[in-house]
Amino acid sequence: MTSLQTSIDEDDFQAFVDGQLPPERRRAVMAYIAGRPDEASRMDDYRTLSEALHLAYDEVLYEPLPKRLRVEHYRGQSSWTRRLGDWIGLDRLGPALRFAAVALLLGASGGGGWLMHDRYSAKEVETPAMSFARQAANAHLVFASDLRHPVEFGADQQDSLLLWLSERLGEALHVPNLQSLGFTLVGGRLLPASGLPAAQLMYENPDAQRVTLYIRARWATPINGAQEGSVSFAGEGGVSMVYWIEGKLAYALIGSMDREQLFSAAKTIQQQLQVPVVPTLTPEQTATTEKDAT
Amino acid sequence: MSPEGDVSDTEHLIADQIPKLRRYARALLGDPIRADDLVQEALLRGLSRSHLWQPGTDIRAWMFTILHNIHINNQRQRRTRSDYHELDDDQPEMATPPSQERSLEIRDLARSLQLLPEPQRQVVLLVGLEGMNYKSVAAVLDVPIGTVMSRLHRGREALRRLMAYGPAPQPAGRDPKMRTMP
Repeated sequence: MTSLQTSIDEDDFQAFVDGQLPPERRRAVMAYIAGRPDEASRMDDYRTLSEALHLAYDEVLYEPLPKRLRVEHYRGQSSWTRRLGDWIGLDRLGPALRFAAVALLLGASGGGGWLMHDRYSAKEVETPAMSFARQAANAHLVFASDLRHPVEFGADQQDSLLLWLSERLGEALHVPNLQSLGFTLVGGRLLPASGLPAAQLMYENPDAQRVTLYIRARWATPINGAQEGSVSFAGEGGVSMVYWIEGKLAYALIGSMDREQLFSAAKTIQQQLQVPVVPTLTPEQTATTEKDAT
Repeated sequence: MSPEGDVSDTEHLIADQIPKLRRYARALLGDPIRADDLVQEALLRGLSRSHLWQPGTDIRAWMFTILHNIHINNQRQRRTRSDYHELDDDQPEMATPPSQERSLEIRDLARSLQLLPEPQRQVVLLVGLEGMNYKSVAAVLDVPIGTVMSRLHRGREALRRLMAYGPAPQPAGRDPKMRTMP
């Protein structure tokens, strides 16, 4: 990757951008570009490019998998190779089968029983609230189970985390304290959501149970059952979620806890966001509204 | 991540790669359905050959290699159709100024990506999107590392121009070293 030449060549520049240079080489490149603003801005552009790629495509990671892309779909087949011959005929129909994957995702993590899952027959019928809930749920499922890299920024870097997430969301962000409920902040990460940035904050209790708070710019149209300040209950059993809108942002709190706990946690968060909000709808009512909204 | 080559363990590891393969295929092909077709083929081939995967080695690189080999075969079969346009090195700047709106920017990016010669697109995506190290990229694409580096540079530079990043259009008297990679 690095040449033995003493001069700095293009390979060094690329590896510099990608963080694939050994430290001493890295320092050499930094010294080199320090006096060359053109080169420095070129490196910036390359980096921006990689960031743009993530913003454009990372949301594919959180899309529900169609049946034909799930290992479970092929389990129990007596022979993979036979299946290999079959797929061209049968699974070309695949795109039509893009539904119900959220149910599986949730099932895999011990959740399940979501009100939303069988309604995802097509992305087009998804309301903004549902799409928000789905993104929040997927983000929770992907990262809450990640033992090694659950967060990009740890709680010890809370200031940088706040600054960074606020900057990306374009809105000053508060990190709520859930200590009173036994949950400590683990950290946070930035996620793409339909090409826009979203933030995920993760909390953990001494039993290693995790809850995530998902924050994104709110959607434009007020949706039935998800009005500003209202709390909706989008799940039952297993992993549950409440979400609400506060100012310019939409919040979702997700965790494996019962609805009372989740509601009181959401209330705690809302109080700390300095606009105390009392749930205006009972969970049952909201769940029904949510159903009707589809 | 058990060290044993237990079949269902390997299946899990393969399943874990699907979202990333999907992201890559979508960016590479631009078409979500064709991309999922490709990932499905890779998944099936990976599962049917899971016993050949060496535990302890990089399963992501293994699955990406499989996907690539399938893609190459598919390309060969579809040779009659031209799947991409080669980007001429002297291609002028895009006429439209860079948009402030992110979604537009993303559309520009997706379109610009498709204008890259595919070998460059592959490298730009494997490095910039998948975060692979150069050695793995060379292994996945089965090319020397020097080829990876020059494709990376040319691809990035072309995208940068297409996306109209940077303060000014390309100066005429550009350092020739930047153009001709070894």
